Amino acid sequence: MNLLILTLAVPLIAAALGGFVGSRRFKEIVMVGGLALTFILCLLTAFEFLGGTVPSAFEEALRVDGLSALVLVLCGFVGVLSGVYGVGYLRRNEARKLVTPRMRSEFFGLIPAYVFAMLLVSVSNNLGVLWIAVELTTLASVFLITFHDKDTSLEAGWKFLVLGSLGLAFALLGTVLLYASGRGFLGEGMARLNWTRFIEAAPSLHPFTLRLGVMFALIGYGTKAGLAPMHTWKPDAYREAPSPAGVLMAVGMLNGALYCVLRIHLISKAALGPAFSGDLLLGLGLLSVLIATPFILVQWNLKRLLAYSSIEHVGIMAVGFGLGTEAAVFGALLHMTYHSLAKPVTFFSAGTLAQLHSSSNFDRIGNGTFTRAPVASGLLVLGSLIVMGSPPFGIFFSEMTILRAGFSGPHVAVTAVFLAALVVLFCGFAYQIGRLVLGPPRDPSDRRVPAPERLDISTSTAIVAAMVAVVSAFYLPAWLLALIHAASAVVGGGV
Amino acid sequence: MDMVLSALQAFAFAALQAALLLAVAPLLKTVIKKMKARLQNRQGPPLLQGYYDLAKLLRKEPVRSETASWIYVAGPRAYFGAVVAATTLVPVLVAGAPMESAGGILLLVGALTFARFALATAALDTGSAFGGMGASRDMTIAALAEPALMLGLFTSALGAGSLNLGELVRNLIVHGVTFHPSDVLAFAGLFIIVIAETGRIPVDNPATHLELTMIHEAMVLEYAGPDLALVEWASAVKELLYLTLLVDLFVPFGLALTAEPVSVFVALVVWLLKVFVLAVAVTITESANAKLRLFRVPELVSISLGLAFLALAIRFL
Amino acid sequence: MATSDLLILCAAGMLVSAFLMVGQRALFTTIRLYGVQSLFLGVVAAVIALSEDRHELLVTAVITVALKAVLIPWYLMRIIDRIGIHREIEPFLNVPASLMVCLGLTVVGYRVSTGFPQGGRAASHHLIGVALSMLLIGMFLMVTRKKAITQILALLTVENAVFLVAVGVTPGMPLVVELGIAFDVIVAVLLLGILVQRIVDRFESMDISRLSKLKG
Repeated sequence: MNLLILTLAVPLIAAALGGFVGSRRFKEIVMVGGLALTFILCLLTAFEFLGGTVPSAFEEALRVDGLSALVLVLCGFVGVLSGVYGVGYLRRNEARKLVTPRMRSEFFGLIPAYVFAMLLVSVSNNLGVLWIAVELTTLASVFLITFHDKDTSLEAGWKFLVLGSLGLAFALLGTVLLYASGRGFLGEGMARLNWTRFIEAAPSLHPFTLRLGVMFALIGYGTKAGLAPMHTWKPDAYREAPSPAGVLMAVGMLNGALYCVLRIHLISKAALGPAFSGDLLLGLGLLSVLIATPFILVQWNLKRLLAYSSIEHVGIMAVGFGLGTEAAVFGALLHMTYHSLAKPVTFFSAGTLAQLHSSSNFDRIGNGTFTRAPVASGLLVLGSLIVMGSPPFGIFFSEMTILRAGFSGPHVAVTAVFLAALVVLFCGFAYQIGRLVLGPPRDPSDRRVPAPERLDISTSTAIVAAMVAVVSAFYLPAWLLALIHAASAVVGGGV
Repeated sequence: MDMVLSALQAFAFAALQAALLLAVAPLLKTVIKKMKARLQNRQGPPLLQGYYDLAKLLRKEPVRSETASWIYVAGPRAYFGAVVAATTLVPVLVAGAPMESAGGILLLVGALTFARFALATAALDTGSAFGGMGASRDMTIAALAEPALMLGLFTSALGAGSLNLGELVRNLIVHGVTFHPSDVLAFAGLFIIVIAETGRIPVDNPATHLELTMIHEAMVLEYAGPDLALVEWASAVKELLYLTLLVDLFVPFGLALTAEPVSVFVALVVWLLKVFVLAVAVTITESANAKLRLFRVPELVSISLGLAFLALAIRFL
Repeated sequence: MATSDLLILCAAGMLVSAFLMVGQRALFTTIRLYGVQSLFLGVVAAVIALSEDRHELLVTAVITVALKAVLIPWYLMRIIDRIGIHREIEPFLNVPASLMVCLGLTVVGYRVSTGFPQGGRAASHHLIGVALSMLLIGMFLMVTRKKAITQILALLTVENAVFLVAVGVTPGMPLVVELGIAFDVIVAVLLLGILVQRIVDRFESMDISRLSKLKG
């Protein structure tokens, strides 16, 4: 059996089993086992690619090149982490009698389904299949956002679904227009929507139609990636989603959506030159970083803080891809990798803090959490340091790479603004986290003392994730580096 | 001599056409009523009810208010006259209007506006509350409906390249209709206007005398006997005229190019059929919608204004 | 009547229905208008399928009519019936102003459509013009409507516009992709419907302007 199809089948089966049958214990085993197996299969697929073959299926509708392999592995990684963390997360809620059987089925069914959809996104070569896969991620995640069934989660779910569907309608229009620009040069059958066909036929695509299509598709998929100004669903969704789902969104979905954006960008680059979609990406990226700044400075909620941080990071990556030089693209892909490794730490620790205090609002959690929940707080500080981009961690280097590429290119002024925003963001994030963790408790007598922190599965997962994130700063395995280089070769520098 | 002869011919033609419309109009009104009744699982009036009603009203003695002046008496007659005059400006069976040398679309709209003016002034004359209310409501709608009507007519005229209805229709038939989306938009806009102008649901309800909502019925509330007959008859003719106008502008097929009896007869059948189809559309609109609140009516009319504008804009893109 | 005439008739019918949706306040009529619009879309697809011998497009036409002209309107009406809400739409912007805006949007949409290559079909230009206009009108409806159901309808209008482009200017999407998209659309509408019911249960209103707790 095709390895690629197996990789996709495992989470799907896990979703079906977890969603519909079995006791809690069985569901837990299925989810953790399934997602772990999925990760291993992702790695095997990536190794198969590194070994020189190009794994593909269904007339190359699914096809793994360098970019796909990198995104696939990162998705698999975050999938297994969130699966294990999720088991602990739900157990904590079970202990507090917050979980109904319906919620349990939703949780164990939807998380593997979400992982499946994201993996499908990352290996789609056919633009139609790509669109369907992205729509599937949206559909799978709606009920994860409304999981807690509160007023605010319904609101967040509604906004997410409506905005997401609108974005996807745009993306579909973009896809249709791209296809129309092919004017019969794309051949016959299912494969005529293949990205590889588009790249081959790039010189003969009709420019006006293509331009319009690229614009719509970039806006559409940009909505899913959370690029400003289409980012408004993100803070709400991140706040309301359970932490394991939140981390899938913040890493897997973000990477997947960026993957779509890149595919469109590459078609545009091959047909129209790098300037058109590159400048669009640069603009959207810069806008995202700029918009995130004030919201991080005045943020009142821990998870929303993480959401704006995620908007910032997708902006940074978009800027890197938009600059388009070899170094900038490599920096952006490196950034994607490091961000994927580091983000789970912050999400897991923030999730634990929020669970302990039954809220993620700063005023409900209260300052000085270090005295109450030392492990989670410590991990939050560590994760934040990495995510903010402080040396010696990886994100610092990737940001430096992008900045250096920017200053040595034609976009010096843009890069200068970008740098300034990054500095402010760094300070703002440090201020918020520092105040939360280390600040003096405002009113010690009034504050509710949370349940003591225990070293359960979730916390252990967070610790493991932190270890991975720290180690990655000093040592990236050769195969991962090879994947980044392969992806970089696909996205291409130069020109 | 020739001129006199052709003028006489035109007058005879005009008289015939006006007579035709006057004869068919009460039937149209009843047919719509009947279809509507059928949709509501009722039997509905017999097909000739319109004629019976008119005959009954015409036989009665006119009852007039003591405070009424000559305007009150003149109103229905002027209304009737203006509407009948308007019929001579529209091609019905033959591809040409009897009085087309007198004027085209502008004159037609003018005649209809005069008819409206006559009725509204007459309604104000007795000083009764209902007459005034009806007149003011009618004028409110007219203020919006008239520009929409003009715009819609002009847009359709643009395609055929003439403001004269006779020439317009001949152009359409000779050159063949080249279809454009703006035609559809203009048609939709004009259809709404027709609904509004003929006092149909959702603008006005011809079947009730509800003081809060009635428009046309409020204006003619004071009238009785032959006066009322004239108003009702003219209104029916006006409705038929509007439907004929729609038919002429958008589906002019079947109109006779010469005055041969056979082709005229064919044209008569085709015309009746086309008008019937539109009548079905009117019936469906009446049955499927609820009466709008009065201050929502301008919104509906503004939709048709928007559609007409759009039709014009798209024509140039 | 020539094929292109029929196509133009249906496309313009779609535009008119979108326009009427802007001016319409009765919720049920708006849903019916959406159904009519989808029916026109189905006819467009069927006409192209028959006149150009593209039989896989016939499947699209059937799916469109069954799904969007019948099933989805029925589902939405059922939701309204079940939750028994106030049946009038209250837009943020009054009707004449909305119409003016949509007029401008349509002109823009039509203007943009002139940049497309002259295809083999005479009606292509109009199909794209109508589609782009509908897209813009749909987005406008999305922004100015408060009720959850009307937002769904706006979304579906946008979806129809996209499909009109798809059948109008492309040589036909692969059938598998087409089916996948149709499946996704129906699931999305289903989920939206479920969410609406939950929102109404919770807030006792379908007015999504009340969903404003999340800010900053």
